Amino acid sequence: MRSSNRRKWQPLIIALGVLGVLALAFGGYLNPVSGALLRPLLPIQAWLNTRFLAFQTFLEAPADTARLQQENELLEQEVARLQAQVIALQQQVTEVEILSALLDFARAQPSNQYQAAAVIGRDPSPFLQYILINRGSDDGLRRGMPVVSAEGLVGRVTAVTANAARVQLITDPAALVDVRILPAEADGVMTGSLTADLFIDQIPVTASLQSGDLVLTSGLGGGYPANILVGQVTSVRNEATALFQQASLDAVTDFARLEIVLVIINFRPIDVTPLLPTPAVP
Amino acid sequence: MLSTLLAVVCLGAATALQTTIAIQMPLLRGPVDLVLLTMIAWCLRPRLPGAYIWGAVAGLLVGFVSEQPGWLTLASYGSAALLAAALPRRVWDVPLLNLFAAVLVGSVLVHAATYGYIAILQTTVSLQDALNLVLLPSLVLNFLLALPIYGLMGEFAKLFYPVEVANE
Repeated sequence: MRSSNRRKWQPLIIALGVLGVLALAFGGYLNPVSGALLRPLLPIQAWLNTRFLAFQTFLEAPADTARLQQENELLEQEVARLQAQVIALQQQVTEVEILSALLDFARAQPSNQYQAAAVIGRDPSPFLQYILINRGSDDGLRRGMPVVSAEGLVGRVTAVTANAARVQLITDPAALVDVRILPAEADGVMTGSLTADLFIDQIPVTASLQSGDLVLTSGLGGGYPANILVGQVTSVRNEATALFQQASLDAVTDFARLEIVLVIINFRPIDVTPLLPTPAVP
Repeated sequence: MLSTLLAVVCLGAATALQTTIAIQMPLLRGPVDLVLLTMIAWCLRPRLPGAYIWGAVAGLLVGFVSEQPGWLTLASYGSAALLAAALPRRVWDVPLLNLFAAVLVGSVLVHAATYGYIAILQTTVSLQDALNLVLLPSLVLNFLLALPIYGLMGEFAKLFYPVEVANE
């Protein structure tokens, strides 16, 4: 009888005990106890977890490595293809920009007919400043035709084959261009140099020149059409005893970066040499 | 025949590199002369045939792409080739000394010929500028690249004339 009473109260006492422990736990009164019990277990759990993960990686690694290598190869191929595409597109953009600028230049001078040509090389001698272009007599090019870029004057054709031509740059030491300086309306003769610097000589001493004045072709001499931009005056030398002034100028064309040029194919140069006075023979 | 073919291929490639890349990478105003160096590297090997052919091909190729007349480049590059061929036979038997002597004299010959030509055409280029801005910087670059090109041409010649190169 006594034993059956004890069994009857046992679940109730256990339930009350559990509830009491839970109440103490929720109340935070068991934290020191649980901390003391769990502290030694945590490093063991961490150690086991690390070993398990290493074991799992070891088992799965061969399959993963092969897959990752394959993926990496594919991605590298994709990157290479895209890089090549980017370079090609950048090149196309550059070409379009150059052609667009050349088109603007051509529209600004509607009286001229142009033939576009790509620069394919330069004269191997450092004393001579010539470029080679990929258009020749088959495209209507003739000796003496002026060559321009989107910025301004480049030079003139000096030799032509069926599908290539050689162009003397205005920076060549042997190049001579008749120019006009604005706003002074002064004429002069421009020459190149070994260092590719440009100089204007034979400017009348009466002309008032300033740094920044524009230099255009004058059309005198028959070698170039008039009013093609050449550059800007950077400095003027006017000596009291000299017959003429001299000036140096910056070309508007960047000759180091010439890629595409325009040849004015409807301009026929005039050879004025027979008209020049010859010294009288005594 | 093989030597002529090799001359056209090698010097053609050198001319293309010269007119597109080398001329745009000068030291001051003096670029390296790849055509001259390639030609000298071949002509300095006494057992390889056709030194005068290499000189003629180099002169003709440069004359074709340059504003200079063909006879002038033929004369300057031809002389440099003959000199390079004569050095190991008649003067020294030290390849390096021959190489640098040939590069020095060849560079001076080629530049002097061009300078003389533009001077005859009454183009004003001061001799001092020509020396300081073109000849001396060009010589420096030629000396720097002479050895690698000499070695490269040696390996190239070994492909076609292994016995001759081995017996040098």
